[in-house]
Amino acid sequence: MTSTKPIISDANGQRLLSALKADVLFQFKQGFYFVYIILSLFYLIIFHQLDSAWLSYVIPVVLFMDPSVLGLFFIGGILLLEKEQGILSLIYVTPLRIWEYILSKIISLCLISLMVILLISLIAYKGAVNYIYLIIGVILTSIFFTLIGFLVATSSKSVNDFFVKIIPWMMVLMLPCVLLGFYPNLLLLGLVPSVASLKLVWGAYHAINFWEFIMLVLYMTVLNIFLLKYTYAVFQKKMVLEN
Amino acid sequence: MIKLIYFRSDLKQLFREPMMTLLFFIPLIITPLFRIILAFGVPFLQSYVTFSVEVYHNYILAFVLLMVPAMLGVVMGFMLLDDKDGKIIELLSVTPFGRQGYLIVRLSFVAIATLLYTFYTYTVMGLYTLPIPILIYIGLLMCTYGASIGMIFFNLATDKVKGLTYAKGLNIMLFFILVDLLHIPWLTILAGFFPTYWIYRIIENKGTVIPIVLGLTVHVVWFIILLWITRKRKINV
Repeated sequence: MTSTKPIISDANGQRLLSALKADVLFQFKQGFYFVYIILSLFYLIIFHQLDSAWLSYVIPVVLFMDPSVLGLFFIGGILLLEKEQGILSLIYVTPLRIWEYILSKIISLCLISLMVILLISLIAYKGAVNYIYLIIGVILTSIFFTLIGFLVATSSKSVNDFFVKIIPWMMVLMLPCVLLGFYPNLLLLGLVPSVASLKLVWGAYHAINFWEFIMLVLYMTVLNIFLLKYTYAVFQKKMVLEN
Repeated sequence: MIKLIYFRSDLKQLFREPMMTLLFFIPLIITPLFRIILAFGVPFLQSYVTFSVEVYHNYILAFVLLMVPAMLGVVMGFMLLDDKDGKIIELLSVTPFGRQGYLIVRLSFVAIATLLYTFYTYTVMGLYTLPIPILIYIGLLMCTYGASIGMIFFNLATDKVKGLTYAKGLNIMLFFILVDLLHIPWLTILAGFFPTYWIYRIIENKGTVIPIVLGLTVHVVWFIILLWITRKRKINV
């Protein structure tokens, strides 16, 4: 499909930027930013009362479990609303390419995650944080969960159907993270993408070993690239062509 | 009789939609899950911390109890949105059942389920002892809370993405259970305007008159205001 459209490198960036702007505006209008600002304020109030020794444990877990994975749920709602509104069937007649459509959704949701996490971490945590590790970790985590949500939404008929399908996914991905608390040295757990993501976020607050960080980043990057390609194929086949 | 028929049709709609069925019955699974996590997690946590987790059992009970009406309210909100999209409400407003009857049936559905789940959750959790009349009282207050959540959701959300956002936002109210732990006077005063805080206070001060009276007042005021707004907005009819 994409090969039929003219390839102009400057226009690629322009289209992606326009799509991104539209997505951010849509999410703003839908109240995503407002809700997460209020939520962040409440987190800040609670974290302010916690002992600093506790914060290094509580903050990474909370940041991983809420803002990092927000894309998992919201992408389903966004995608299926656009499907209901007939926007997906219009992708063919617009210059916007499917890659750009998917990337724009991922980047826009990733921006909210990053914004919330940096806001909370910078204000609430006074200890040492490796912000480069944190930003990389959050980006990779957010991309992974948004792509999972994207895949599930692609095979869902409605928003309600999406929720039914996403709950088992959420349990499968989150349960190993609980196990990590009981078995922190079990290396096999690190192969579960959600655990690898948690380790990345956690590592920013607990001075993770540099090579372990590199391994985790490489693992999540490769995984995300494969997932992105697979999502593209499934999305094009199921959502766009069928619509 | 007509209301009974609509009540049965609500049940049918609930079972037709897998999401509704799942969310309506999820408290049946979530409560034992919380119990299991507590059974294994608390001894594990206790090996790292010096304080006793038992002191916080009232907070945990309040949280698990309140999660049920919050969840059921959102489910009902989604059902109302579905009906709004399907123009069912418009259709019902010209029948003898009417828009008001429709709303009463929908809200009582949440209320009854909340009341039943209150006893179930309390029994399964088995964390904290409450006198039975107080438990019934909490159950009744939470009935109005669940219905209020459904109405907030329905009045604010114009589509399901917005519904999703508000569902997330409404969960903030559960934070108010914890405010007494934070010792921030202005936050405690703010929490006093929200129903969730008073459920915790009634659990904490079992049998004390002030939380009982103030809890009832806040719940009833919320319910009446929301009912008034819902009727005034005429649910898009």
